[in-house]
Amino acid sequence: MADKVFTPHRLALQNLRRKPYRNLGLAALVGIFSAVLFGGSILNGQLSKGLESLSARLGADVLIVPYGYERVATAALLRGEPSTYYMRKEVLDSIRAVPGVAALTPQFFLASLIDSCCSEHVQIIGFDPESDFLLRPWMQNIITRLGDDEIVVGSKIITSVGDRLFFFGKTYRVAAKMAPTGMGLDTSVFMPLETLYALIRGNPYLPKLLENPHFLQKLDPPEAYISSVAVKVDPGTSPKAVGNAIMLAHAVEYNLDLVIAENIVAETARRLHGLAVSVYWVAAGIWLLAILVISLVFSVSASERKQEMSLYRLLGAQRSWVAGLLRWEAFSICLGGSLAGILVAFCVIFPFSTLIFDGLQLPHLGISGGSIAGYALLTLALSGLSGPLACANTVWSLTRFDVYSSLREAE
Amino acid sequence: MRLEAHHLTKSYRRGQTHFNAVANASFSLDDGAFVSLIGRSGSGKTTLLNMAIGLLSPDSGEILVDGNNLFSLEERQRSDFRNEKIGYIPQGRSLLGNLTALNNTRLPFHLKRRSGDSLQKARELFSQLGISHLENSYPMELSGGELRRVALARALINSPELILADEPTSDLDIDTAREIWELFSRLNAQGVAFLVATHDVELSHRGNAIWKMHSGRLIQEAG
Ligand SMILES: Nc1ncnc2c1ncn2[C@@H]1O[C@H](COP(=O)(O)OP(=O)(O)OP(=O)(O)O)[C@@H](O)[C@H]1O
Ligand SMILES: [Mg+2]
Repeated sequence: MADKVFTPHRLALQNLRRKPYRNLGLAALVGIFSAVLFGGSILNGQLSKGLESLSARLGADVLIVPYGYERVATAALLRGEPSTYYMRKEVLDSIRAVPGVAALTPQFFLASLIDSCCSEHVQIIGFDPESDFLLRPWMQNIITRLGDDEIVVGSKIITSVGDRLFFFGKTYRVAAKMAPTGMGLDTSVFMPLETLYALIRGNPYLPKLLENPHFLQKLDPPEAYISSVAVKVDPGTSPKAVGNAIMLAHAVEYNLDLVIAENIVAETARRLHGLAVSVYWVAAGIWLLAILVISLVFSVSASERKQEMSLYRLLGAQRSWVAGLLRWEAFSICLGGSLAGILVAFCVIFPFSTLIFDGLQLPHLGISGGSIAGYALLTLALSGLSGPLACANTVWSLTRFDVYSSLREAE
Repeated sequence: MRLEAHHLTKSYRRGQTHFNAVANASFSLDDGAFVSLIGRSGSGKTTLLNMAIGLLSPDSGEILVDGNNLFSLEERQRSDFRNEKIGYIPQGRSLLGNLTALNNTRLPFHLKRRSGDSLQKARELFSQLGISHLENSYPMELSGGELRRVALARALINSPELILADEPTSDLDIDTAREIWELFSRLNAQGVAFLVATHDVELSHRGNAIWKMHSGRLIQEAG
């Protein structure tokens, strides 16, 4: 130590070492604040990007599904929970005839295990290359060129373009991989309807599997069925009105339910907002608490340390120097605590983010390193600021205490 | 540097009555002086020294540093005066417990922005005072005499013109006390002025002047 430079900052650190546990406790408080703010900001950032992606990529205005599957369909869309539900294909022509319907496209869902890549079921989505408008925006070229045994996979399916995936006894070539969307699409596998129907017909067990009472359906022949119809309404028409018109005309006949895309976005935005607000309120509360506690501890210890403070002054230190020393002490506690908190939040959030988001059940997307650094800097800045704020009253009381009498008290 | 005091008075209340801890004290200290300030406990020595360095303001009277009134300077200038011109050895233990002896010594150097090497200077002082082996010891590991030497080294770090020592040998055995005064004499021969408050009449004769305090009054006699 003797050969190192002797600075107020170093002196502050040495002073902190006198009460290691107390100061670690104070730092931990700032650490909790930092972890909540930093972690909360990152989660919030990821969810906001998920929401952006959701509103940008929900190409449909209304989704028609079998009766009773509204929630399942929403969950499938947001989180890719594999789902299996079917209705007869004739519904397409009936819906097309409803006024206000501008375009529509069917999809067919099948849940499957793909042994080679995933430990859980993935959603296989069959789409109609001719009428599709849901997937086209971000895989337009591929969609129309897919061969009989070619598929497109979501970003979270662990495989690369050119790989072969094996399911239900057939091998498929991965022709393309989608960019992350933050939604259920990321864990789905896409193939043209015809390929999917052929898959079901060609597998001796699959029709049996689908006769499972759980599915309540016997898909015979499979091409007579679809799972959902995505509807685009005429410009200027309310999706809700068109949806209701479809329901009014055909709900009973085909046993239908509907999901309005706007509502999903609005509902997601509402939950997201609620989450962000509570995170920031909690962070603000801990911040104030930390400032209050540090401030109390500092003013108590300042009276214990009167003799030391007086000694600095006796040896010729300016008041500003003593104040600076106190500020360095408080700042070091806050900075150290904050760095630790950020590190902890980082180590918790990244490995466990899948778990966290599964719990939250909201769409999410990774955010850039730049924004993460930004959140870290913001957290550090607020924590750093809390140091000087917390010792403000102690510093102020320094300007009033009488050096001479505190020296005498010590004798 | 010339330090002058004119008619310093400081009074305190004890119960209902006021009394003068220092009463109408005047003195002047010039370069190279070596003055012993003797007087019984409670006679006002510490009070006088604290006024002399601008830490305690007198009720009346003035302190002049080279003709400038110390108490009409700004507070920060008074701090600089203490830091640059004065070496102060306070009564009792005054080292910081969490700093090594060497770093305690370096502290006054770093209370202001300075260029130069406090480490080298502190080491020189330690060897001069015969305590080089104590560089990395902490105050609680040091004896009373060693503590005084470290405090003296600290007082010397900014090469002051005047050292004020408040009973620097009161809790030491007579041999150690003599050694400390020996150091004062040697430093005084090198040009540092000393004002040393003490109870010890015998040692006080080592100075070249003895001032006596009695119930706040200052009586000067030639050494
Ligand atoms: N802040 C104060 N309030 C009240 N009385 C005080 C104060 N400071 C000093 N005194 C009184 O003033 C008198 C002189 O005190 P001072 O400390 O100057 O004596 P001293 O000569 O240094 O004594 P000692 O040799 O014991 O250190 C004492 O009677 C003391 O009680
Ligand atoms: Mg005294």
